[in-house]
Amino acid sequence: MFNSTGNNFGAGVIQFKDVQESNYLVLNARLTVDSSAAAYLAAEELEIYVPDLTIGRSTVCGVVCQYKDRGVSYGSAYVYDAGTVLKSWVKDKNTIVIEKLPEFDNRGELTIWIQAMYCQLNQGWNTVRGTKTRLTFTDPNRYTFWTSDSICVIFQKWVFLHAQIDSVSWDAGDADFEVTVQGLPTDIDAEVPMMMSVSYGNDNLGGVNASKIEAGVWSIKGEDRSMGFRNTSNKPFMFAYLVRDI
Amino acid sequence: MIALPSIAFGGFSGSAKDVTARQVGGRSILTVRAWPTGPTTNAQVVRRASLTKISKSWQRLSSDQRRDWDRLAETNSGQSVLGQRAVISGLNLYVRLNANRVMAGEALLSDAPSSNVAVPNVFYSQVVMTPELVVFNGIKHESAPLKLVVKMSGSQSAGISNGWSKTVIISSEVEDDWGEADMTKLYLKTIGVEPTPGQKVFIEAYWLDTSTGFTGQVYKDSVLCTGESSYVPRMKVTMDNVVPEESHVSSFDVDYSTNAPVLYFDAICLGHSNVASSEVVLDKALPAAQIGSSLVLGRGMGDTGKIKPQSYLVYMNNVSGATKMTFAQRGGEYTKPTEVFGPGVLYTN
Repeated sequence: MFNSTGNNFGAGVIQFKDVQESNYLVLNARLTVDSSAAAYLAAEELEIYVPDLTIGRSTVCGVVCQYKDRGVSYGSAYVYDAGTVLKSWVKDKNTIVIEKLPEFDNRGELTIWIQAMYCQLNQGWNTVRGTKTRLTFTDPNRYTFWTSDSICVIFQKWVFLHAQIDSVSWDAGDADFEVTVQGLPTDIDAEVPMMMSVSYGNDNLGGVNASKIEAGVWSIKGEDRSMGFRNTSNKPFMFAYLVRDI
Repeated sequence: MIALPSIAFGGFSGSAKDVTARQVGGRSILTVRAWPTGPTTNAQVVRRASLTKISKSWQRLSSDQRRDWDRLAETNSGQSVLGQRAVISGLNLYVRLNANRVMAGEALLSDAPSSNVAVPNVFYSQVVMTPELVVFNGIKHESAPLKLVVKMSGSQSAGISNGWSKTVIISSEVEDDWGEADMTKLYLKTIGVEPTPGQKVFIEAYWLDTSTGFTGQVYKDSVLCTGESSYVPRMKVTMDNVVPEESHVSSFDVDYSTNAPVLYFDAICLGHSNVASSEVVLDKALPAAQIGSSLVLGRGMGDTGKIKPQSYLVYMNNVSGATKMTFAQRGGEYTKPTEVFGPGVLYTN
């Protein structure tokens, strides 16, 4: 765990969970950004300043960015939260960079989830192959059905997670979802963004909602769930490198 | 009558036959006219024309600009001669720095740089020199605007201990690829013949700050060419390995050299038919230990402006001596084309 020492877009201190090896990092952080702040608008790239990292540069990876779009239309509340993946990399030992896209300018408060691996190339040896663990989701209310591409690959200090919903029952309405996940280590405690094909408020971006994984249970509040959850012809999914609490 | 210049009497200056005497900064300097030892190369012609052009452009500077160059020159010295610090004029500094910039493909700098920022020294761990491979490895990376200038000689007798005067510029804008710089093609293009086993190649390398034209210290090295090398270039596949008629990508770079549980993807998937996937057939089979599946992030980049998030399952198999990678779209909305990027954990089922 470490804290940022500064940034160029006007945010406060950012707390990171980390796994730092000599040739790669797994970093987890959640930060909020005021996309109408002068510092944000002036920045060409978002730079987060941090204490010495174990690596001095990295390849590009993906982090998830979301803005909230919620309101009431014809007496009904709507959630059109939208977002996509931004590129991120380690620029030097003390700087993590996040790409800035004009699509997010003046969108109010942005949430960025860093749940990524920052790796390096030409490290002397090739990729070390892992073994996948298939995830089993038990939803007592049978609101959600998950695809067989829902897997994790477990390492001693971190886990790679990919999970996607095949369909959501119409019975679900605005109910909260709480689903037991078998196969995922129970020492994962993280807010993980769920990405969807549509937000219904922005044609260029997908829908993005925060969900929670804690003690082997995945959950999301009904009031925080986008309409995009129902568009299951394109699967809602999670993609994250998560630091284990060990 | 010829008045022979003599350094015994300060104040002499002028030329006599092939000897020129001049006074610089209170020092008497004698130079002997150098005569070319071989035919002029195209690169030399271009370089001399460039120097002439840069010198002439000095006249177009404003008096303030020239004064700034003179001031900068006062704080910079030329090459030390006989232990004395040589003086360099504003014009000479202007030509020297701009010649460096032009060599690196940059435009002429009219305004003098604000100061001389230290340029780091070159460090690398290995030069692989065989007739088939000229590769620098373990280069300590320096970020832009620094570029590596590499000069090399043709093959020289192994007994020669000082052959750096034979070096010519192989490249003035080497950007190491994660510490590795493959100079094989550039060497062959410049020198004309591949290195000869048992013979020596002389090397000079230095960093060039392309923003100012200042250079770092020249690192001199020499390497004996061997018939073959145990060096194995790192494992990666690029567009050069893609069989175009059986593939659906417009750019493709998959690198296995992470020494971590991931491989690194950087590709643009075009898709094909009505299937939400892109296939890539390679011109070779990858080692069995590197065959598996992976999941990687994607982002739409179509003309419609859609930059939607996606996930892709990448599965690989070896068939008939070639590896086939299938990028099968999974999460999110399928968009053509999509850039697929970042690390993906490699796993077996």
